[in-house]
Amino acid sequence: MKNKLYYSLMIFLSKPGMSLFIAFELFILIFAANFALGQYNSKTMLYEPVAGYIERQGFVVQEAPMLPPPVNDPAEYRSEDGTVIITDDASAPAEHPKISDLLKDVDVMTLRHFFIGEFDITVLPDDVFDKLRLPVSEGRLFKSSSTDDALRVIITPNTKGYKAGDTVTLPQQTSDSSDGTVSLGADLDIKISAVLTDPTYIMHFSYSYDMSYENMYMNYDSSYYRDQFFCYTCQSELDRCHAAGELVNDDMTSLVSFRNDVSDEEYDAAKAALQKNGYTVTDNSLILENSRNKLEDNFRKLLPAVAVFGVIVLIGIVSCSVIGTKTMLKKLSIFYCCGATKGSCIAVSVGQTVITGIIAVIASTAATLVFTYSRLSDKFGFVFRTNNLLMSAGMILGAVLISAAAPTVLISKADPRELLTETAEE
Amino acid sequence: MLVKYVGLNIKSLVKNHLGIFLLIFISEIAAALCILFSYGLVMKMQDDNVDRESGMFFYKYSLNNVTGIADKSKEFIESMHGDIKNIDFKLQVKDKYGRERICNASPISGGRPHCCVLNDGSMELLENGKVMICGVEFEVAEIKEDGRGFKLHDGGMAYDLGLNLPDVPEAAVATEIRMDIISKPTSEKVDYINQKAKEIFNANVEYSPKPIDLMEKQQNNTFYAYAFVIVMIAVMNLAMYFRYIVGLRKKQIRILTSCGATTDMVKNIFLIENLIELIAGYLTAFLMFRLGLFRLLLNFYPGFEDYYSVKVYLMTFAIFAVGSALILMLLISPDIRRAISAGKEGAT
Repeated sequence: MKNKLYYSLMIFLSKPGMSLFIAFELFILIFAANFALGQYNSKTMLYEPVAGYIERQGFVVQEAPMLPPPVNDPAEYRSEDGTVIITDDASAPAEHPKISDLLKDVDVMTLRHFFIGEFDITVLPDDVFDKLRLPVSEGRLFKSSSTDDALRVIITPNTKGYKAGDTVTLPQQTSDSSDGTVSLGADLDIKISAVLTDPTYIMHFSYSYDMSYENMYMNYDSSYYRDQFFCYTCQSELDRCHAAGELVNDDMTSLVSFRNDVSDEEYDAAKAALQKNGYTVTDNSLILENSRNKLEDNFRKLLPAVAVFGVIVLIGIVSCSVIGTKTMLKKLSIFYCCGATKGSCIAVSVGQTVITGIIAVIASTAATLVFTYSRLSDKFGFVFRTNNLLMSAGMILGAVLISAAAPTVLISKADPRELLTETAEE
Repeated sequence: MLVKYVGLNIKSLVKNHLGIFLLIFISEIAAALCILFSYGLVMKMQDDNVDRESGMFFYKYSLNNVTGIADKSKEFIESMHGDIKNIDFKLQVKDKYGRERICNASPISGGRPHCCVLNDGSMELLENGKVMICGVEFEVAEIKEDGRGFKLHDGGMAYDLGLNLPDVPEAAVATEIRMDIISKPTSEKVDYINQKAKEIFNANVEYSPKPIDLMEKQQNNTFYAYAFVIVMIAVMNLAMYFRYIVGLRKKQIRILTSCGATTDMVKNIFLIENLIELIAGYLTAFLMFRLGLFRLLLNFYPGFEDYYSVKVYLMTFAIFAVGSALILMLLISPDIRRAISAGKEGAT
């Protein structure tokens, strides 16, 4: 076995051009296919974080902007340390009762919007935020756990000049009187962790102008929105920064999904209960369908290019291995005359193919790692997952089998003595 | 003599190395298909980019049978402060038989109706070469000459009708506005224009400019990269075969040079032989593309056929042949020279 591997390596090293060419083609194929799949993975950049909510039976529920609390003494709605008042918090004077109080056995994912100064901040639940895969042009997406003092946000590209790493100190606006007077609360530091690419997406589940849901991908382009920009942060970040003062919701949209399947009657009853309490309720099926269609349309366009690419590389690999084997046959015939069996010759040839495969794997793994851990992956929205690994393994196995098939057939048919005579004549 | 050698070379390749010959031929077909496909892919992506950019400026509104377009359009255009590139109103008018027809109205320079064209091909002219629109007689100032119109003084059929906006009769009913603006839209501008259209015409928005989509942009960038890599791999495959064939014919090259052939003559034999194979490969690829692949691609990329014409096929063939010949000569020249010098050393 050791000898065979040694001879394989020697043959590989004696004329590495052809093998390296096969390795190069295989590397390009693996990398390009992974790139396509990685990009497809990123297509779910907004879909996947909320898939757990939207793929079940449920509603998209919108709540009107919260008005200043209709109270005489605002202090009674503040906690002792003067923390945030949030509309669906049980202790807050919300206009609508909590959704989870109205409906049993439902999961509620709420998108909250706040305005702090000129910052329009969308707050996502931690589990949703941690799955977010929006490509960034500067900085890095952060995870929900943090010990930072400032409120960390991801920001859309903007004409205001906010960059990753900037910390902006803002006086918070606090609605603290029944007549709607707005006063300034304690300062709040906002730290910009990452700037998204231009264009990018804003997660939203609200109506379009014709009162229909398009999909959850709202396009954002800084040249279109000019001075308007958006930020994302997560619930735990907001909770951590409560001490800084008070925030008032601008509006809220929730995805409400039933934990178990419900009958049409139960569904309608739940819908009616929400509507009766002032919520605007729509089935989530349309937004789900539209979002899926958008993803599938994009993937469909990619298929022919990947298929053509695969075919051309396959032809290349087959022909390279045929030519490579033909070139190698004379050397193998010497082994044969020195006592090696045809089986050993085939093993040496396959060994060379495996070495080629290993080189391709090393190169493509290195390229993928560099791509994933550099900013390039964020810029292209490349997301590496298990499906990349499975596909790569399949492709390498397939390529090695195809490459091994040609030498096996050629060596079994070849007559080593004739080949040696030809070589001697030359 | 050269042709004879080329013929003999091809014959011996088919006879002695049929497998290699087939692989070369298949690779040539694949390379040609790649170039044809990549061309369409790049053109489509460019078109999509242009559409997206121009779509940034385009607005469309439906109107609920609005009359008094001449005055209202004036007010609307003034409210845009010179930012309108084109604006077009679709009107429903009646012909002389009282049948409903469609005509377009736009602000045409010169102040008079400039052409008489009706999009369904049945607006009849009055005897004097004029048209009647909502009881107002219009003189036809200009006819589009594309063979489907009519002769002004003979009466006949018109197929599209253009009016100058200020001349639109009060009673004419408008059903649609289409407009391009000059400056890049912002969300505020879009809101403002939609609001003005609503105020003045009670218009419903059918299309307003939208920001560019990230996924489409990413995908288009990827397509360009793919098109480049596909063509590069195809060409590299071909180059590899050519080098292998030179390796196979070392003996032949030595004999040729010993009989007095120069390096250039040997190169020409290889070049012509490969060009013949390339032409055959391209023709086969062209047939495969037109008869099979093309239909398949149309399912994925509607409108793909618009990018291909005889000129395009000739152009892609020229790129394919010249590119391959250049690479071929670049790669095999050193091999041929090496084979010749090895032969000379052997003789010495």
